Amino acid sequence: MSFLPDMRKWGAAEIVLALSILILVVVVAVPVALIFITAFFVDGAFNLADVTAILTQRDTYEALKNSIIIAFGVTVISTIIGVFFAWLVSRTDLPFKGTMKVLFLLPFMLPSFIGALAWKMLLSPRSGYINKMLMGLFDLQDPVFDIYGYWGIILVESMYLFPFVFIQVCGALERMDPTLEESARIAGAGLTTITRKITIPLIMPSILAGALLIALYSLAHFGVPAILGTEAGIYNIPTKIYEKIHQSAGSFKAIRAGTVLASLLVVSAAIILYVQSLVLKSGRFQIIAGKSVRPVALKLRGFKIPLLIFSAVYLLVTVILPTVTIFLVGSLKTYGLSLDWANMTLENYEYILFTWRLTRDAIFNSVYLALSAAFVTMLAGVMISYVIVKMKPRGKWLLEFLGVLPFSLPGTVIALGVILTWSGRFGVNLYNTAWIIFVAYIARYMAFSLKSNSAALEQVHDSLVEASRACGATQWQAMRHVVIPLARPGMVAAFFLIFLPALRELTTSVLLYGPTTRTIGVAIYTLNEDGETVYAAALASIALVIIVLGQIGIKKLTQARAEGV
Amino acid sequence: MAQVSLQQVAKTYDKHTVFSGLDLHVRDGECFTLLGPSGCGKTVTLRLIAGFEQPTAGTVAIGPRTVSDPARNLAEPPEARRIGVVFQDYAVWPHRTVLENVAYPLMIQNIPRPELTERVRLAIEQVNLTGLEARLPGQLSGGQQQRVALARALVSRPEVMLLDEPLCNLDAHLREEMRFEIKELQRTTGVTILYVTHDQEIALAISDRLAVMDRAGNIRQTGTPEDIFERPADPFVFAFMGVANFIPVALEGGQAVLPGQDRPLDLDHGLAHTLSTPPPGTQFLACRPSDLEPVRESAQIFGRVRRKNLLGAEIDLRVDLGGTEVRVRQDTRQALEQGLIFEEGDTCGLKLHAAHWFDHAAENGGAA
Repeated sequence: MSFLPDMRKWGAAEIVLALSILILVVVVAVPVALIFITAFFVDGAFNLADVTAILTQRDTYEALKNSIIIAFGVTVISTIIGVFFAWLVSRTDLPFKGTMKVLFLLPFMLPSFIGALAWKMLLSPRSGYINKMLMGLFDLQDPVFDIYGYWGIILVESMYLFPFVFIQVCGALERMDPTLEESARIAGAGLTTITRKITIPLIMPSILAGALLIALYSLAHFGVPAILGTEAGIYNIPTKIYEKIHQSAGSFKAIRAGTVLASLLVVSAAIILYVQSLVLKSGRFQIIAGKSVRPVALKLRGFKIPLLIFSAVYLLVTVILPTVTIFLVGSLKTYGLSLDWANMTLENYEYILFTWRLTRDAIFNSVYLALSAAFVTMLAGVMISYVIVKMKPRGKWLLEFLGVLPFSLPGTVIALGVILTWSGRFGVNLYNTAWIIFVAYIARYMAFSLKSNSAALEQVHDSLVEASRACGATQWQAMRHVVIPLARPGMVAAFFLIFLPALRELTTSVLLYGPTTRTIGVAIYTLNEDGETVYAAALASIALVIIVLGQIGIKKLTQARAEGV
Repeated sequence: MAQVSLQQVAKTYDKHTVFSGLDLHVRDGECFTLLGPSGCGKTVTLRLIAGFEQPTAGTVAIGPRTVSDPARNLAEPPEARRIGVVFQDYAVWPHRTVLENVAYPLMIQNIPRPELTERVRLAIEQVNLTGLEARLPGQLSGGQQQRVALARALVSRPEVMLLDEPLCNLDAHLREEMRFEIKELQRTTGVTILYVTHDQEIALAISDRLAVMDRAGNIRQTGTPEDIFERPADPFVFAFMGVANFIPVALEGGQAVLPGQDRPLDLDHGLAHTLSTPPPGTQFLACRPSDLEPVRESAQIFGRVRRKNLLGAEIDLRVDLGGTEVRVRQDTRQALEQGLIFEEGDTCGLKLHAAHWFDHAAENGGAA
């Protein structure tokens, strides 16, 4: 009587395992493999000649060079900004430190391509509002600023990426045992010596980890270079891939060139991640004991108010100014009019939200895709995490590897892989449908889901499930009564961790959209390209409202949960 | 209620063998302890009985039912075995209240409301948690959580209760209290208890019978606490049950000579009446520190005091016998009254009250 049910359960476990592997192979492994195969094999034969031919083309290595220049500049500048502000809010007596710390995370919420759009409106040589204002004010013939170019791209990206370093360094400074610094002081070291010899070495791994994350992100970033670079003829690898594929309307030759470029991105990403792992390994000693003794705050004395004003101005310029600009320009009757009350109208918003098919579709697509991708990825993530954490099959490292691989893959690379996989090669053609974006989102955000769900499932000790079995529950009942309720917070977190970035996604969807499948990001980008600046701004304002509402929603939800337990 | 028996059970993981050919028989209604050092396979034994693991070979039976027999592809799932399990880490569900935790087994069995309420109330009362029903486990102390786990295991009136070191995370006072309560529960309910621990004190206090397991997963001795403590089967059991002295012995004409002594140990003289003459092949004399009494007259053994530590009610002496250090326990008050305080460097006479002859020393060299 009793061997049958057990055999059946063994079967169920096998099915779950097989399904997990299948999902990761189809969604992640095949697309990535196809990129390399397409890049290096022609008609089934290894072909390096074509690869070198593509790589030695002038525009290819220009793109690589630009990617590296931009990534380098962005990394250096945002690291300096991030470390400085982190130190300011965690180690000094700056007034309103707590509020300031929250405010410095705001740039994270602002999608950088919307920021780029705003800065274009403010600082473009001919029509930028600040340029026009300064020219009028001082009676100048030439514009003062030109946002199109390396500096524009680097500064705008830095504005919105520095929180990566900021968060890491704040964490390290707060966790650091103050006795380390105090003992140096007792030993007779001055403040500069302590900072140089004790503090900086201890937080260096955190700084480097944050900096490399920024490098990885910037190297493969599409939005800002696309908006501020193409005008000046500056292409980085993602915008080059987009241009090649877009110009040739998705010809195989262009896609192939794209895969070669994408391989370059993958290799650079691998190098960055390798360096990061070395840094983190060497930084083990600084995982500083969690004694939360408040470190002594440095007295800023005379610098207190100037630094507070400086921080406030920084936030005003990088967050408030662009946001206000987007909303104001979105309300203009026509682009180029002065920002007067008389030139304002709400009709743009009405037109975008209710009348114009293109923007209505875009909003619907983004919300729908973000919701469904978040939901499906969350469910798949629970299942795969369960397999990895609880069933511990023999090849679990492979599942883990495939699951987190897309996290380090640029969105452009995922888009290319998805095109190669789902354009009829295996009998399914999703090209130009919303499904192809859906599949790409699943691949892109799987790592978020796995991280959040594994963390939650690891809290569910095996003995909790076994206790349920010993109480007479079947495997399924134990799952329903114990595992799922305890894993739910991880699932909710995973859902929102995917929903919000998917809502504003541009890099991947810009390579995948078809006539009716624009996302909000794509619509803003293409409207801007087509010169519909006002509508681009209006749509961007709506996107910002949705993002802010979403953030508030999460905050409310997580707070309610925290209080409920 | 039911008995539990394991016959010729083997368990291997990949290449690692936990044990092969384990035989264990727990009688109906007794409190049986499986005692052994950590990593010896005692928890695995418990998990085999619970059905969380399946044996590689051999059979497991609970009452008249065989529940595991790989040879016949028989493996009853845990939920069908009518057991209660109390885990070392409590495994109380953090998202359910005390009441919901305890009621769970009955809800799974679809017990009708009135009966369920009554039985849950009774179980909570039995473990002294009345009044805390609405609390979540996070709001309870460790000892209270442990009692929730106990009530949850009891409420379904299992035939067998399996307890995996449930007391080792508690402080000394609570441990004693819970030990008493478990024993009391067993007396009132008559459930068969299999208790797994590495703590010989709990094992001696709680068990009707116990089995001592070594690191290789072999059962060295099974018996009542008195059997195990007074008549250890081998040096391992002796060493495991408490602090042990192993004194090397030289046999001269059938008589034992201890190191540093100029004549053989006098067994007819004094209080060593439990000791027979050493059998051929004897290598060691084993005794507890309390079996050696420091005396001024009629001593059987002489040594030099190396260290003296006053521990309160007792004095701990380290005495050197021709290079072998032995530990001696002395009652402080008695020593003071009888003028038997020895200082470091003093020569000290010892009287042997009880001892065992062994042909080898314990492989782990001392106490657990």
